[in-house]
Amino acid sequence: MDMSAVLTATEVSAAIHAGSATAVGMTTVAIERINRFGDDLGAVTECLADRALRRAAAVDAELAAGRDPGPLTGVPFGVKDMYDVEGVTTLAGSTILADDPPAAKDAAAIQRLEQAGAVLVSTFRMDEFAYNFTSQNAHYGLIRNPHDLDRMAGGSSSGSAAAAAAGLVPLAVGSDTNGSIRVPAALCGLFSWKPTFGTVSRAGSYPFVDSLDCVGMFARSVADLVASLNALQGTDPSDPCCHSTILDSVGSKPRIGVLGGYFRQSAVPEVLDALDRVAEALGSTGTIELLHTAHARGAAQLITASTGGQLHLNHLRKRGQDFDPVTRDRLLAGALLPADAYLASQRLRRAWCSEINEALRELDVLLAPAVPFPAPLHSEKYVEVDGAPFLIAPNLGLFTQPISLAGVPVVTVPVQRPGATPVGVQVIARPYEDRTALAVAARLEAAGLARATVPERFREI
Amino acid sequence: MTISTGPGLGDPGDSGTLDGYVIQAAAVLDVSLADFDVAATAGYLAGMLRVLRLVESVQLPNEVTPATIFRA
Repeated sequence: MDMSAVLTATEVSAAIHAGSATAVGMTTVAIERINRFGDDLGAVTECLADRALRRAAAVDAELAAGRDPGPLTGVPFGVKDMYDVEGVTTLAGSTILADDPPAAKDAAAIQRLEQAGAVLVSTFRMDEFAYNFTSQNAHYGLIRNPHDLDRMAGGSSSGSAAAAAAGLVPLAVGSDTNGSIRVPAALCGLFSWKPTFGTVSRAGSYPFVDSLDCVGMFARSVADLVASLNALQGTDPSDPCCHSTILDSVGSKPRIGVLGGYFRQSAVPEVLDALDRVAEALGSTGTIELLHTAHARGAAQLITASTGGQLHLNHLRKRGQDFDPVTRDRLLAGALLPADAYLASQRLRRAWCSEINEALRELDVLLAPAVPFPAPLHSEKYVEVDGAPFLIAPNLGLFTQPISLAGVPVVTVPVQRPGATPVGVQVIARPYEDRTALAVAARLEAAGLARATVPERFREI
Repeated sequence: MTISTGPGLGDPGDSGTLDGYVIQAAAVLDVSLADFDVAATAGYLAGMLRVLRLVESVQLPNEVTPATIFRA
């Protein structure tokens, strides 16, 4: 077995099960990649080499004893540094939490992936407290896009996406509140899965917006996302919102529509071209418009600002100087919002759920662009859309925020552009029908239209 | 629906007349403003209140209650 090849999670597990590789060998390769490329990307918080090698040896011992550790046997993975790792202080991209005691146990997501045979090897950088999309952290630096190191990886699960896209690990855990998995997946050219709200436990993760936060995954193949779903989903009394399970069934021939109107107005032609190619390949039945999309995005913004501001109010009182400047004043503004903003937004949210679920009555899947433009340069504040300057930071989540407000599952698929950074398309399904979105993504992958590739410079080891 | 490309929640805009509100409301919440940029905070707040006007422009029946316990 060529240990230098950049493998998917499914390939790693198959090789170990076949006896052509070991968990220790695969974990060693991941550690070498993290040590060699982590600094170039600014992606790594802490490589957990000792823990990972101990865990990998235990996986190999299980196999030697004739037991199957699970479908993710020996698969190295990393987590956004907002997930508790036993013995490690959870930072959530901040310095404010640096003096907190180490976590007493692993987050539920880590436990479930390791119960399926996977091996945690690293924690990854993120935008501070998950409240940014730009992959720029004033404390720890820029997180860079593997396809062009001068460009944004996207956030807030920036390090997880950069690491998976560069092949440092086959699987990485992120979190998505308003698009924090889908935005970096689109900019870095990865497949990603944001589950139906309330189907994957968030126990042991640092919160942001309790009614929006979801655990989710980055991978370079759809099969890897399916394996992750199988490991992660399921109710958990430790997370009061995690009360539902994902359906097992997948419709045989899903009816597919494209979201128009709002979703076409501010996207650059390259992004719309990718969306149209995906829609054509899937035999889309046409375009539909959701009339209150802009309102829904507004409601998501206000719920986020208000909840986040309240969550961090004690930090704002005592540690104001220690926030990232781009986070600090926004959180305070959110804390000062009147209750009317939160409650009006939650009322709108209920109506928005009805609107999107009604659209999903006639159609099984909706398609939308993930981000209005390809990965911007870190040095840019504006990109050009329709000949006019368009602010980057507030608009990276333009197409993801309204969707997650409804709690529906979304799989992001990467569409490659020769000589340029990839773009992403959102595949949106009904609540609890995550597997339908994954099945559609798998069709696009099989057709060669959606593909995650590791850039050449990260293939050497 | 026209999408605003102006200052929003990711960029402070014109704070309008909200500086005084920020100073008073922060005091009520016991937040010292020594570490904050009052004008930027007021700018973000002004952007949020513009968004609130948009959200409130949707006429909802009275029986639509807030989704405070959220389920997809």
